[in-house]
Amino acid sequence: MPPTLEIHQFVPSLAPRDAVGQHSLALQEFLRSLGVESQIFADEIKPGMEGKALPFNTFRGRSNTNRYLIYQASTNSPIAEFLSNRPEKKLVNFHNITPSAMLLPWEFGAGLAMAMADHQVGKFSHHSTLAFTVSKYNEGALRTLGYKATAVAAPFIELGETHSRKPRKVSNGASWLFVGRVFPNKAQMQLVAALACYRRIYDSTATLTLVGSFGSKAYHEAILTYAKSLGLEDAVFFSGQVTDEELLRLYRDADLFTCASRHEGFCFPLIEAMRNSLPVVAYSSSAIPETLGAGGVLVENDDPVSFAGAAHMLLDDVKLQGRTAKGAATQLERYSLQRARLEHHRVLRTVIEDLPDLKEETGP
Amino acid sequence: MTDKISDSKNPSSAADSAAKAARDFQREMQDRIAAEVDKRRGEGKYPPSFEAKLRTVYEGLLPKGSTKDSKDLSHLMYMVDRTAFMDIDVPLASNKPGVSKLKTVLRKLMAWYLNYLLQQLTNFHANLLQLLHAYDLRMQRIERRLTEFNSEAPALPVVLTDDAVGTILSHLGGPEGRILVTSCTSSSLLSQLDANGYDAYGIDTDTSRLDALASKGTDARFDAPYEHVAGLKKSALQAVILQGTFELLSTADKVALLKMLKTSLVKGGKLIVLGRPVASDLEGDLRIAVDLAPGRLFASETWQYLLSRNGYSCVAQVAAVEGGLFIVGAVGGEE
Repeated sequence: MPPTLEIHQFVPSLAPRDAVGQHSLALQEFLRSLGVESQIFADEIKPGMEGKALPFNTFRGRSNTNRYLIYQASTNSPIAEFLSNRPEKKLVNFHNITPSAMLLPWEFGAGLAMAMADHQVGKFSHHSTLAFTVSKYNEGALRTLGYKATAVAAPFIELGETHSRKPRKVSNGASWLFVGRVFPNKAQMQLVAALACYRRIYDSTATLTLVGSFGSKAYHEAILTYAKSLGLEDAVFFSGQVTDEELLRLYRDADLFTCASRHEGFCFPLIEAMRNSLPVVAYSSSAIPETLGAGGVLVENDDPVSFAGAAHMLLDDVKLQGRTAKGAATQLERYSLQRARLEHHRVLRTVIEDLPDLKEETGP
Repeated sequence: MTDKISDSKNPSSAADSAAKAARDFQREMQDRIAAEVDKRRGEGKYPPSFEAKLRTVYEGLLPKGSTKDSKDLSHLMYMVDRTAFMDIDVPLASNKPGVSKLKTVLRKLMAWYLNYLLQQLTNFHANLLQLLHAYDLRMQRIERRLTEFNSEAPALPVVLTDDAVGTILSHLGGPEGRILVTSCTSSSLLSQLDANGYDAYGIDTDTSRLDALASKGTDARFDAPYEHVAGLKKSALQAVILQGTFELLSTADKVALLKMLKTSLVKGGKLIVLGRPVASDLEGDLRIAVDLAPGRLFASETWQYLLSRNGYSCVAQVAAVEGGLFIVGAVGGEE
């Protein structure tokens, strides 16, 4: 009798409400649903995740031809070296690394960590049988890092019920929303500039709410000073981290989701905005175009006036909102749980031939 | 559900067609955004001084090491100096009993090895630092010689006669496509292009004169030639009129600008250079601007030579204008 198929995951940090952690748990559930033995090992197991993972250095076992190890590569971690010395076949599930140049002037330590992570993940390419990731943009980054065998599979996103809203024209008191930690690559300062342009000619009472943890004190202070210099101190709000319920309320109360981020490996908040039928305007960078599709308006020109113009176009045009809603529906289907299962199965099958067949599903 | 099942069986073709539809949609959006922005700028809703403030305040808030300012380089050099030399004096303190002594012993045991490694590293860093400082000095010397815009220099005026404007308009042909005019506050050319139905916009760095132009409904923006052209998309312009400050850029910057403009022009797009001959009898502001400039004025022949060498065709002097100006025309754009 052949040994049981085992596919274990190694995660630098398993934390609640963290995209990598949620993805790893969903992948584990999927693998287990196929009858595969699957465990998560982590370097850091944050409060609330106890019992869902084991410390990575407790991983034992002799070499087993039917055991595969997946490294959830998202940052610099001792797991990389640990796995390099393991005899099993290794797969890399890549979550992208923010370019250090974007962070170094603001947050030297974080920038350095990203540079080290880049180096480490690149070095790990020699040990990888297959590297898979959630976007073509990320796949390009993997190729640059030296990975030869790469693939793309939709991320596991637990999408709740889609919240529909009737398209509506907003010409007064528009409420802009952005969700993402306060960090230089998220470019909240560019959103403040765009809001200044928008308020100047379209809607003098528009506001911007920035949701997310304060990852960089220096950048947070720069945003505050910038807003004050432009007379927007009463129009830009920071909510910090919020609960799931509060976040849902913010998505549903806002008029427009705005994203000026300069680097995203995927951008989950865009999916969340589309799920809440919130019109979206986003700067066209990194993986944002493929995540957004036609579910919102992209701004290719790095110019706050263009961003403000796009925001006005969308908020002023009910028909256009209807078109982006259709585009959003396509994207939500593209990123459904069913699609993620199918694509992960297809990708893993390319190297794990005895991966059991996918059970026929009848719904998304 | 049937559709979803068929999509699932052939996910790549469904994804491909969705991606194509999305690309088409976004292309349409970019055109609409550009039209909206042009309209608002054309209405004077965004005075150039407002956009200049957005940019200058933003740049003022950037941390050291992320701007083009040479002071930034000095700061980074200082940081490199501070961190280049290393020691093996690892902290030995510990709250746990006996650990401090253990660390002391370990450090002593490893010192012979770590010191050897560290000495090599330090030697390398010292050499590297010396090299960096040598480069820094040379860079400072070059920067002093080649400051692109000397803030103390007056703007270079361009006085155009009606005949000269007529020559430029006839060389441009019909009012088709977008036209860029550099140093647009230096002459009346932008307003005259507007009056003749051309889709023209201008750039300059003099905010008060830009605001005055924009208040009359002219699309005039705060930007420097090199930076503006670097941000343009391929084939974005039907024609470009270079006038004013560009003449005083360094030779390397002039050549770089010509190369970038060739890509920014549509195939067959026109470049018009408004230049003035090298003259020893320059007076007033013109004399001061030229004396303070990093580059010198080029003769018509020199412009024609540079344009031809950089891939432009139909290069010729179109006219010599009263007041010493000459007009050189060329055709650019790429396949």
